[in-house]
Amino acid sequence: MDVLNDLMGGFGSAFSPLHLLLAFAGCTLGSLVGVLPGLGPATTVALLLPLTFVFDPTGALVLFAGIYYGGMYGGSTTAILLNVPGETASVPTTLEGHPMARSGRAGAALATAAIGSFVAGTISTVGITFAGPVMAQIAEKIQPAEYFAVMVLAFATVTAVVADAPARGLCSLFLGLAIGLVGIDSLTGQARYTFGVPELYDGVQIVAVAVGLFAIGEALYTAARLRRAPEEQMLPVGGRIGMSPEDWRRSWKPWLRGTAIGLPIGALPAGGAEIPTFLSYNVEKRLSRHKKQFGKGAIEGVAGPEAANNAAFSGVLMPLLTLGIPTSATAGVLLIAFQMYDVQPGPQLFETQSALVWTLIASLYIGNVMLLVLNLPLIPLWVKLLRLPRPLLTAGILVFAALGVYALSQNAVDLGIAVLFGLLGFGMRRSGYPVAPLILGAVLGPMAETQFRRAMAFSEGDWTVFFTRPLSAAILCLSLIALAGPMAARALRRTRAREPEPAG
Amino acid sequence: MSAHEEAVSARDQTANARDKAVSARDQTANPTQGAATASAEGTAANDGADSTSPPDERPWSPRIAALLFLAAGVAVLGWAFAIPEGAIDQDVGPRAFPLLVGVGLCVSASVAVVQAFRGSDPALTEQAREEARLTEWRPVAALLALLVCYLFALAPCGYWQSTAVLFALVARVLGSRRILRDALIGLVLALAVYFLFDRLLGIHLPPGIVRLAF
Repeated sequence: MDVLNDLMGGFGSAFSPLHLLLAFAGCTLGSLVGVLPGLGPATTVALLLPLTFVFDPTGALVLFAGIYYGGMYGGSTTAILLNVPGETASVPTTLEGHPMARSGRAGAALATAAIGSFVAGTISTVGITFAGPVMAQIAEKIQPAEYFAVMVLAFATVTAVVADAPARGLCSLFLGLAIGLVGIDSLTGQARYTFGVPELYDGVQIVAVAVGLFAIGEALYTAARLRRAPEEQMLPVGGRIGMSPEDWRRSWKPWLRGTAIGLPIGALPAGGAEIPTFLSYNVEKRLSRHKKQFGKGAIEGVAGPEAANNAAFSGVLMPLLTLGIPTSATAGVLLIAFQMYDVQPGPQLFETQSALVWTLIASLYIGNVMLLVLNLPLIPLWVKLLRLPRPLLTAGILVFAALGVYALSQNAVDLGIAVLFGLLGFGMRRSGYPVAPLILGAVLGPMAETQFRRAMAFSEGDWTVFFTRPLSAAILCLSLIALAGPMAARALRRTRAREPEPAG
Repeated sequence: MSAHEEAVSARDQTANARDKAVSARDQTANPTQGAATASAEGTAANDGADSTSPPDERPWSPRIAALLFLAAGVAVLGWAFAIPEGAIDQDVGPRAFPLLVGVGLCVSASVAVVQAFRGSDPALTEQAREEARLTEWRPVAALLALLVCYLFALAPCGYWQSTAVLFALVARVLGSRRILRDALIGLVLALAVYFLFDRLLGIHLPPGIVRLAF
């Protein structure tokens, strides 16, 4: 079998001492940063981008695979012990994990999260191994009009999922697209939105945007609330980290169900990790024999969503690798990392960069094992990190954010851009605008424009091409439903609420 | 646990003795940066303790944010017209997509403006009220000022020198009172990063005027 041969080649490369070391470093650093309160996986990956500058693309991506998973493991620790979700997808974990920790069962919650993540991550990686090449072959046949439609779908679902109000999500998305426009137009050489600043000819440095929005924005947000917001209480781990036989019995089915929910949804080019985690939470709540425990610390409510989260996270790599389309903020930052090394994910990646892809996939397997074996015992160490005074933590985050941006180009202009976007991220967060659509728009915008113009060139300038081709029209319809659906449902609920409730 | 409690109590003390703190900071800091911090705090001081609005009044931040997005939309659209359209034989020139984005931003921002002014999203209003209650503008302004000073100081003063000062001052602004400890941690961190990146990994960082002897 071709796939197995390729995978074996990948393992051969991933097991080289340097790559093993990098995978280990990635996992450790990822958990280290991911465990910091408020820093979700997207921020973690963005903050650690500069560390990879010195390695060859393969080494850097192996490091990233570790950071990607590590950031997520770290995030679940914060969610359970501190009740602070690093991102929306971790919210269900806080719902059950934190009450568990409060009743002295933090060890079991952390263990089921970690083992569930391992199970889900490994199954999902197997899925990527076999479905990835197939999907890449299908993706090769996609025409520009459909490609553009799929990107619109990704935009629409990310906007709809993250924002409670589509208008604000769309504002964020379109601002991101506008940022992506800055620079020299690749087809005509025409400068757009550069205002005569030579540093902008290559476009806004997207790493500066990501670090600014996520890391600096988070630091400003923390600074603003430091004195007045109630301090989150750190709960002690209490007891050993592990699960009793009963915990195992109650966990293994939710793990598998969570994986079954998370992987397919994540693998769609319209995924994200939010829907599967909430879906898994509701499924577990409905199926559980301990319904009364839900809300007070039911282990199923940690096991299911954590597995779904990790499965979706791995699933997200599928559209990212085969189509070049990120469907979550974290995947967006990963795409930036790929592009920094002139590796353009997409249908051709599996052919042109075969060695790199398979090394990456192999290191996903290795990263999963490493995190389980190394991370679980190290959790007490991460917890110590959470006890550092907040002012020092924030200062450290700012130092590393600035370092990352500066090391990129040794250019103060980029640092200025990052500070500007930090302010923007702070303002958006304060006034209820999601930042994930912005980063996706900025990363994916140039590609969407290229496909848009290609499609238009094929149709000789006919704008209806996106609606007359059946597949493209269907995907665009789906996008509209994704955006308008939640709104319609809310309106429906409102009118129903006004009517008198029928008896019973 | 003790370090944690210390931080909390230190924070309370800072709140009481903030005026003294500003002058104390100037003495320890790099003169230019210290002055900038103090002035930034001075301008932001008006936003201090009693900026919380009465409960019946909706906070302004959603409306301001929506208007800013609309302004950005108008700007994107306006500048899109300034892009010269490419050769005529092209079906879609460099201007088409910017126009699309500009229109999209204007439309969605307009909807957001209408929603914000009508207050039709109670969850958003509630969130904005909560944020207004919890937000202190002083540390935000101070951090921004520090970062701007930092980016101008990097090349002339050198990486590890400016970074050590940045670390200590950020910690100070956020309420840490143990200046000596913070400065020491900042210095060690900055030197460690400098050696790791500049000397070991080969990513150039500015050495500054006071060059290291090795």
